[in-house]
Amino acid sequence: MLAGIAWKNIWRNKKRSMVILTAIALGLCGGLFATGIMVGIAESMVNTAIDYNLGHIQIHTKAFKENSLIQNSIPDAEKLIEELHSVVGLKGISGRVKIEGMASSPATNSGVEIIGVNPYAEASVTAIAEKIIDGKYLDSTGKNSVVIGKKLAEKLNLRVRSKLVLGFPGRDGSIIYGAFRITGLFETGSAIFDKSTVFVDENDITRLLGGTPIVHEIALRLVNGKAMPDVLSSLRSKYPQFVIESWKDLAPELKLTAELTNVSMLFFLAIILFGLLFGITNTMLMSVLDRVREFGMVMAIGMKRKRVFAQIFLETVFLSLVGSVIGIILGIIAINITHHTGINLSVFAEGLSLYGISSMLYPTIPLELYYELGILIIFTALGATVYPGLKATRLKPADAIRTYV
Amino acid sequence: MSIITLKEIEKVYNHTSVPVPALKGISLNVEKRDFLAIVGPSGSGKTTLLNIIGGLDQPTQGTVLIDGTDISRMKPDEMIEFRLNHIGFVFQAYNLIPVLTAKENVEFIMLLQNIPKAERDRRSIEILCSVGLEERIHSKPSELSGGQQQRVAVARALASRPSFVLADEPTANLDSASAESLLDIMEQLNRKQAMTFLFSTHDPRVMKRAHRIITLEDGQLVSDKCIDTHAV
Repeated sequence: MLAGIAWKNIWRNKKRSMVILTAIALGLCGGLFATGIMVGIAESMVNTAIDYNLGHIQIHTKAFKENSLIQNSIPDAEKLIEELHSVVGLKGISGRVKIEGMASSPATNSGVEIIGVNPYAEASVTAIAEKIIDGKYLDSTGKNSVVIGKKLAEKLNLRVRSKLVLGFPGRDGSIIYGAFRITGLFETGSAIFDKSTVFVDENDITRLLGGTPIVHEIALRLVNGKAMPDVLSSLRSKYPQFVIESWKDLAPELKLTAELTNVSMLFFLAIILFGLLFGITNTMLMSVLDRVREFGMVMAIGMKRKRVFAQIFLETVFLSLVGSVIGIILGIIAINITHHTGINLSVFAEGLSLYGISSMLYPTIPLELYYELGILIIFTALGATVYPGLKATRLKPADAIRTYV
Repeated sequence: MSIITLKEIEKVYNHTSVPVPALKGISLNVEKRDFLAIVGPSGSGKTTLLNIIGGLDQPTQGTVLIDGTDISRMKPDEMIEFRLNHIGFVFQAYNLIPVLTAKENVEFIMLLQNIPKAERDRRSIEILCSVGLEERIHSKPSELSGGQQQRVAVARALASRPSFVLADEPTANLDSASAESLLDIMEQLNRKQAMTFLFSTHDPRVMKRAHRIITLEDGQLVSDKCIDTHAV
């Protein structure tokens, strides 16, 4: 019955309740949407890295991790890749040759990372093939084909079908030069990556290097990224001779960004709720001051102070919850709509690409944030109860019942 | 045994700065079935005396015994519990909870006593019928007349099965017909259920019905008249 009375009490002054409900709902809806955008940005940075370069897991030799020399390749890589195909939840696997080199055009040159890949295998791990904006992806039909980032092409003053000379150290340390024809330009959304990476067919690299094919890096892409910790630990125990790392180990700054975003957005929501706390306190205080005589009466007839406080707490919780539920529902609707349509930030594409953020943003919020938000709301209600609650419980019934508001 | 015993009650407001004596050496016994009116001019100490008897205020000196229990030095929470189970209140301005129906207002006090729902239902309907509100059980205070609201207040006061009912100017806001009707009900409850009523009043209609009239002047008890055979 106490809860019933509390519920009825919040509708006694409908206008006043509606004002604070609107404030709570809009505040939370806006806060959630802003959070969705920030989490979306962090996810975009992570996804850009996973989609265009890292994959979920990478395998290297310990020697290559210490010194990325050409000879520090993975022994029996073909056999290892064959074995890795049995990993549960694997979406794709790609063996890569990675060499630091120089890309030269008639105009200028630039330091690049040359990645030799099996074009089909690589397409199952990264989305470079989907990000070709001019020309076409590597298809193993022509010799010495290369795809490069649009940014690098601009820097080298090259375009599709232009010739590009790649220079890199050979097995004996001598510099090998190879002329390549640009078949396609890619644009991933990460300016740094686009400016410093070129993809070539692994067969072309092997031919230029001479000898047997080599693999420096094996990249794995999982169907579901959530399975990554299990796959990682299983691979680590099975292949202790290799350095097996997740994208979190390979790009700790991205891991930090993703984790910090969730925490900082929770703080952001807490700040919004802290602001709303004063609004709720004010509404509840007005409600208490309007009912001084009633509180005096209930205490006179025998309602204990802690029960009076509990009733005010319930009223505050109901008020906060109604506003919060409306705000959260509106927030979820806004996030869901924009998650499907995306938010086109191509106006800022240049700036965003410097941070590896895609110009199409898909707001999203992790489920656990809603639980944490729920707890924050309860604490806000509790905080907003304190002053009005104390004000009511400190009333002297004899004086309060003779108060005329 | 008296249900209320006051011994040498003194009440001084602001006794640390400028002392204002409100009650001076009041001693009084109230017996079961009393239908007692406390009268006197404004500022004579009626409300202070009623507050002290009702445990809403504490005397500066003296002892208040209710059903043999000394309430004059009780802690606030003990006092609230005591009021809940021993004293019924009827206020001048009805003081009903506006969001509750007549029945729910009566039930409310039983809820505070943790009485089970079925018992609350039964007793609230019974009491509302006894004050002539069987047709208005589900009406909210805003849908009731002043007289009807005050009858709900009486029903609420009786619902906790108190030892006595304190009524502070219960007819002050009522027209003559409503006041007479309310007094009829109270008198009937006094006669049939042996319920003790203490009124603080200026209203001659109440004084006319009272069986005992206590007059206060300047905080002193100046007369204690028994009007009929029930009174001491």
